[in-house]
Amino acid sequence: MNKKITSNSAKEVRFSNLFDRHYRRLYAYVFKVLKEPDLSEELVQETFIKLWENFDTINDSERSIESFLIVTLKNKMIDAYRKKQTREKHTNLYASNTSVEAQIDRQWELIQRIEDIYATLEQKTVDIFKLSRDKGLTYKEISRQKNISIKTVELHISKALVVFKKGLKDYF
Amino acid sequence: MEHFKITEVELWEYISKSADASTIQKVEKWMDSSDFDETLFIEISTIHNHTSEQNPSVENAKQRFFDSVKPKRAIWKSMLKYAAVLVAIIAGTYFYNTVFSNNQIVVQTTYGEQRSIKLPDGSKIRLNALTRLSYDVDTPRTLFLEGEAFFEVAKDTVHPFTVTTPDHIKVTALGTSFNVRAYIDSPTTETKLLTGKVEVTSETQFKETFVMIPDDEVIFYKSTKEVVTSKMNLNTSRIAWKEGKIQFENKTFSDIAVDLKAQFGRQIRFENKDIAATKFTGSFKTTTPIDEIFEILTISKDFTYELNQETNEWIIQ
Repeated sequence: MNKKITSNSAKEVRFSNLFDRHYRRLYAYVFKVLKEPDLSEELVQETFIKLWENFDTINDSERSIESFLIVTLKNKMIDAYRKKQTREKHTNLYASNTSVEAQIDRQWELIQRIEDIYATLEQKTVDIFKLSRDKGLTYKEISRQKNISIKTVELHISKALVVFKKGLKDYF
Repeated sequence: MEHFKITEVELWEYISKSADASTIQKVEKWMDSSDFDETLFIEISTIHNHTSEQNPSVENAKQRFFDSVKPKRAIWKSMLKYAAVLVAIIAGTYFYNTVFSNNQIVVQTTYGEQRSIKLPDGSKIRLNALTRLSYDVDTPRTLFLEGEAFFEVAKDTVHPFTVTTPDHIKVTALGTSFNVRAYIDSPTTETKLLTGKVEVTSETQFKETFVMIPDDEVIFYKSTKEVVTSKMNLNTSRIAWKEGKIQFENKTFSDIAVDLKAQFGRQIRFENKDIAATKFTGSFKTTTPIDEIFEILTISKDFTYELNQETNEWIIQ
């Protein structure tokens, strides 16, 4: 027998950590595909619940847990996506011909690609880029906050854009 | 000629909506000019699009998660599984057997099944799903129907052909073809006449005799004991189920559920009365998966549907 977590409180701590590590990423994944915040939250919840229920049967490695989460979530997304398509088909709106699975896989690749791009950038560049992208700050506001010149801010943004342009060229 | 030059950094500022008035003006002039580089514009806005970050609350999600996994539900779950198996076995024996008791003959169909039979007098009957038809060997023209069936009656002026429903509605025919829908859990009992002539009477529910001519429809409402007669809508198939269709016109969801249950074999439970009473009009092939039918109905009325694996029933909310 391999040693499994048996006490519930240890399992809870474990899951708390799993949430911290995976929740945002999984949420971002569903949201990219379905674009519905409530549904995205729901599907990720269900995914974690499934992991909780099947925890004893899963190989206790970080890798197999991650792939369990992704596979489970992906199946839920395919299901939800098909429902969405059914509705679109019957209301005579655009319904895509490409396979649901291919579209969903592509979104996951994109998320990973973006993570990889961020990883190649200097931390300083990432910080400045995110202040612009996520916080919507002006270059002037960033320069004040970071105590650097506007020119330097622009240089970092330019660097990030060049790398993104190259890294995402298959997605334009 | 005026020339405009825009840097990526300025364009990013514009697209991420943090540009000041002069940059905005500059970018917009460039967009109106012949120097406008659409590819660049698309690239930068795609980067903007793809780098969008959702910021869900991990703590809230965690809280919700632990609230739903912690309660002691494991024991109940395994017990329910056994209960479901038991129900399935009982249901199985009930529906698949053709029962002969005394001199009674019973013909029945299960979920999603249709079946044709011929009576000794030559009358032809087609049974819809989840239907039970019975008669005494000595009186094969006196039938009892629970469910739905289409009758093509052999002519015999001496022996009237009657169909009695569980709510004591009696349809009497000479040579004729007609359809009776008498599911116990439906709020109505309906008779539709295609050819010939039938009479609808009841010993207990009402005093009148309703004489039907072709294309007439007589609907008995069980709760109010009201009888409504009308002409069938000739634009829709008259006996849709015979053509492999599930069709409903301005029917309540709870009544539609009766047909869906007969077709797909799962109980449908309404947790919201409002939705059960909502009326729908639609036509589906019986080969359409039930969840697809639900999904399409949600277009006109918002509700959720979920298959409870333990009780094997659809929950509508």
